[in-house]
Amino acid sequence: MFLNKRFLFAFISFFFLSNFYGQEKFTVSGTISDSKSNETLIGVSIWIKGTKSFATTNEYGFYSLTLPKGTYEIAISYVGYQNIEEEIVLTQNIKRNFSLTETSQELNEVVITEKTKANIRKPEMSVNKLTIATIKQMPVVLGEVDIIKSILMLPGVTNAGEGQSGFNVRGGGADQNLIQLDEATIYNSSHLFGFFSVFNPDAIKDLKLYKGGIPARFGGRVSSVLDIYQKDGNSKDFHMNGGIGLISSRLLAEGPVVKDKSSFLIGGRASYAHLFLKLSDNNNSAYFYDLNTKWNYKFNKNNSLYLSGYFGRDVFSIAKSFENTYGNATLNLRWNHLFSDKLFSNLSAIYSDYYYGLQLDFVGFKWDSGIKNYNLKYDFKYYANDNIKLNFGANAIYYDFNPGEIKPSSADSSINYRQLDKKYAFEPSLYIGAEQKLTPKISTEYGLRYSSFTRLGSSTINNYANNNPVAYDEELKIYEKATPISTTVYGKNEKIASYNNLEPRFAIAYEINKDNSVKASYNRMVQYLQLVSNTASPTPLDVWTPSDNYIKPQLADQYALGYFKNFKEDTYSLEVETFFKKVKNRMDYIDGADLVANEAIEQVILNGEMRSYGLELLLRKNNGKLNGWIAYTLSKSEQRTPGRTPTEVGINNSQWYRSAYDKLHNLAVTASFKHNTKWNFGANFILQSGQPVTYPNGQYTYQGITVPSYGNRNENRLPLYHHLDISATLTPKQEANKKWKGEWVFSIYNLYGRKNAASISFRQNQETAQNEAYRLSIFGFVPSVTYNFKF
Amino acid sequence: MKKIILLIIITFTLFSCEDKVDINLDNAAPKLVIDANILWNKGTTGTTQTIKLSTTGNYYETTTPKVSGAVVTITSGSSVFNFIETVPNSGEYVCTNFIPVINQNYTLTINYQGQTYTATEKLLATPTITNVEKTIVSVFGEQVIQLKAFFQDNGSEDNFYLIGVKNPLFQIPEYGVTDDTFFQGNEMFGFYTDENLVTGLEMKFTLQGISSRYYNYMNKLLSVAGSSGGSPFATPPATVRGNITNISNDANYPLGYFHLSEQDNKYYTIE
Repeated sequence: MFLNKRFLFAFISFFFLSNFYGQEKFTVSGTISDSKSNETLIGVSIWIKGTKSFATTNEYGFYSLTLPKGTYEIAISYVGYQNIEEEIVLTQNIKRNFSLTETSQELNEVVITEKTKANIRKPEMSVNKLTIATIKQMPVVLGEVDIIKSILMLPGVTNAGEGQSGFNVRGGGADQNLIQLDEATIYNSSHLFGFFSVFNPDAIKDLKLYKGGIPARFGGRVSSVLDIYQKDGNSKDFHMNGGIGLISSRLLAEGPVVKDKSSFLIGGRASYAHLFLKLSDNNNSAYFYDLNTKWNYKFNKNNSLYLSGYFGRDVFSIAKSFENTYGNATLNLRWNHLFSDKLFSNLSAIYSDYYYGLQLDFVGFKWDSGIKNYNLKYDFKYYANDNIKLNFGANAIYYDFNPGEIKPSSADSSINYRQLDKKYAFEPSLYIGAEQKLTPKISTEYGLRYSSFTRLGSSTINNYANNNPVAYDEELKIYEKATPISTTVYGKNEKIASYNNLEPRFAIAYEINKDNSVKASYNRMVQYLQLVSNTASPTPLDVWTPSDNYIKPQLADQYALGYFKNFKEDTYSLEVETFFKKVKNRMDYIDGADLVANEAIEQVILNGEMRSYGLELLLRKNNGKLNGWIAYTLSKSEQRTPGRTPTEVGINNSQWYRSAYDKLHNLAVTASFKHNTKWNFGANFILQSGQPVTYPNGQYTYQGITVPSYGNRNENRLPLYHHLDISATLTPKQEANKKWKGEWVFSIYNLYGRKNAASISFRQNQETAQNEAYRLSIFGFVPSVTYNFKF
Repeated sequence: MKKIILLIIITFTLFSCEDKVDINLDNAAPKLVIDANILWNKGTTGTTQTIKLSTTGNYYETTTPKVSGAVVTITSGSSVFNFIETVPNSGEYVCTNFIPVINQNYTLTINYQGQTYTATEKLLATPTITNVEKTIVSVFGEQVIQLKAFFQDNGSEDNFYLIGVKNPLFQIPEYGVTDDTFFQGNEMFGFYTDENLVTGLEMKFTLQGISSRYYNYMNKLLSVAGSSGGSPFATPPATVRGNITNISNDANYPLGYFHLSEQDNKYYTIE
């Protein structure tokens, strides 16, 4: 521990030493926003013409550039907005805010000059950014614009199929993704078990997916970070927009509270009740809803306050005897403060929780579970000069897990009340990172994160013989739950187990010329929270559990190498990346493990490892009437759980086997065609290897039951998965004075009606007693229409 | 908890369709399967017992190969009970002079093709099914009959149960396992429902007290037999190992289980 701290100190001094060299320099800084709504814009490029100096706006639209005294031509460009060029005279530190105008607002302009292109200079790699405008153009099932489904079009991202929750990044599990909405963790990203995602597209501004080269400010999950930002709300005029679809309706209001100073946003979305249940009986219902809110106040040029919240629920009720409710809630208060033109800070206090409740009246059983966390974060960005930018900060999270409370649901129920042991944990961390231009051709981004995790009392912990919660039956060669030999009682806030880790992050870019570059990155990530789930995609009742004396944190090392190219005057761009990722301490479950309401989960867990590697290609056409991309990924994802001693068999005889997220081939094509101001067309095509599964290789009879027998795990694959979807958006010509703008979105999912297998199940035909294979497919040909409006 | 999965599957089916497909499967080398269930039905002497031997077979065949020519015995202390294949090639080995004693240990020994298979287990007691109750609930707008078979749990120990239902509408019996985790010392029940249940059907409920090991075995076996892989919500299926070992060749282990218990049977005609 002592050594670690010294290392960290040396690292910090290195940053500041590299900073001392003199020349008269001044800073231009400010905020870049949308001219119509004052909505701040994230990731806007600011260039100084004729030099190599550039900056991009941060998550709050802030930028800062420090340059030698002089007169400069400043150029600003952002996807979907008109470029700005302006002369600035830098003889002192200046503040310059810019407002950008959306290109689509020019009525007669047909061709959008989007300036998306491969990022050549910055060391940032393995990152994909999608604007909400791009997402909204993609055809979707039943017309529900879906953020999670849209990222499946990116290279290296897959999921378990239609109607499945979560997503898998570079062969990782869905539980290995950190999903943040305005910096608050979202524990379950799905509505209706995965048919739709929990993000209301109208309330979202921007999203960024980090698949690798993850900056030091992020931590806590080993595979990826999906960083989603909500809109702030229009601080100039009051507007409403919404949509009426086949599944749900949306309505969002935004406007100034104090003009140009303060704004609010409130957006709601609800599905129609009885959605899935065409019935005469009104006792049944299944629906979801969510609510996004935001308020901000700009006190002065140096201080702003943001309050944002999210609340979403899914409700199922069948005949009043089965009731199931679950969802996320978050609340986040943030304070942006500028200490100087060069030092930006943000202080956040974040609360987020996930709740799962179930009531089974026919058993007389009521179940509540969930996870809550309280997060305090202080982040700084120091724009030292145009060669170096520092990010540093501290973060502390307190977790409160409720694995389950079981209550009798009525007076005559024979269920006994029981509270499964609550779990508490504390996760403080510190980070420092730098973006540095070493030479005109070489840029680097490097950093170090120090994270610590302590599982706290009060709790009663089981002790086992030889400290081994999983017993091995040498005779039968099977793993079984061990019986605790004693228990240890820990008092409130008493330390049960503790971990400390250093997580280095490094990325480097070499610019071959202005259109070509190569990049490399390495990152170590640590994950202290584990999702207890042994299905291919998570279900709402999966429980999060902290690392403790038996469950070890997952450690991942990822290496990536990439080639980036823009050609034909930035019309096309090509990104090629290859990666290798290794994860230690990946939990695997003994055969027949029962995970629900299991109070001693350590008794069914073995520690394994995971590895994935692959090649990703992304070819994009960035502008013109027709634009879009082709993404292809060739990859493998495997896991292995060896026996703990040489005599143990391990899982799958200690051999590497395909993980449930292994997709050898994955091709995604998305295209958008702007015919004229009235019609816009979109198409998506996905083709990927079937999901790894285990088919029987024989059968036998026991007690009159036919039982299939199996060979090794995940040796088979479901049939090839593919579908083509199309959409057409009609924007009727509008009268100049009318505020109301409407558009119709027509879409067809799975145009040629491919019956993609969500599963292949094997069972006995009850009439012929013949064993047969059955394919379950979810969405066939699904046409839909949605009407969106804005005023 | 299976009900939640059931619900997920219900929501699935509203959007989905299922069809029969042809899937080619691998064929593994045959393994010996030992179905050695010694069940002492309450109110009987329990002297006639049968042990069934077969092997694994091709998944798409309607039957599995039977095993003849094995030597099957159960010993308890100095008593030796011989099981004889009375009907040739039936794979059924019968003993007519078995003596069941609650809480007594028994050892099964099978000699087949030069290999010896063995297991030792205790004969466990079983409570009585006190009564069966019917309720009618509305599920998706249809009236569905639900049946509960009640029995008394012993509050002084952790108990495990295997509950069987023979519905005359189906050829194969249906089983479920349960334990008394949430019900210690209370009256417990086995729950059964099927959309095709109608008045007048005679249902047979069976109850066995089982060991925690057999509970784990049957839990795995039933989940493997019921779901049979390929579903994204299913856990990865694996071959389920029982309690019988091959002492001649460890790697060539048999499938099946040696289990002994009392069994209570209750017939109930739906009113």
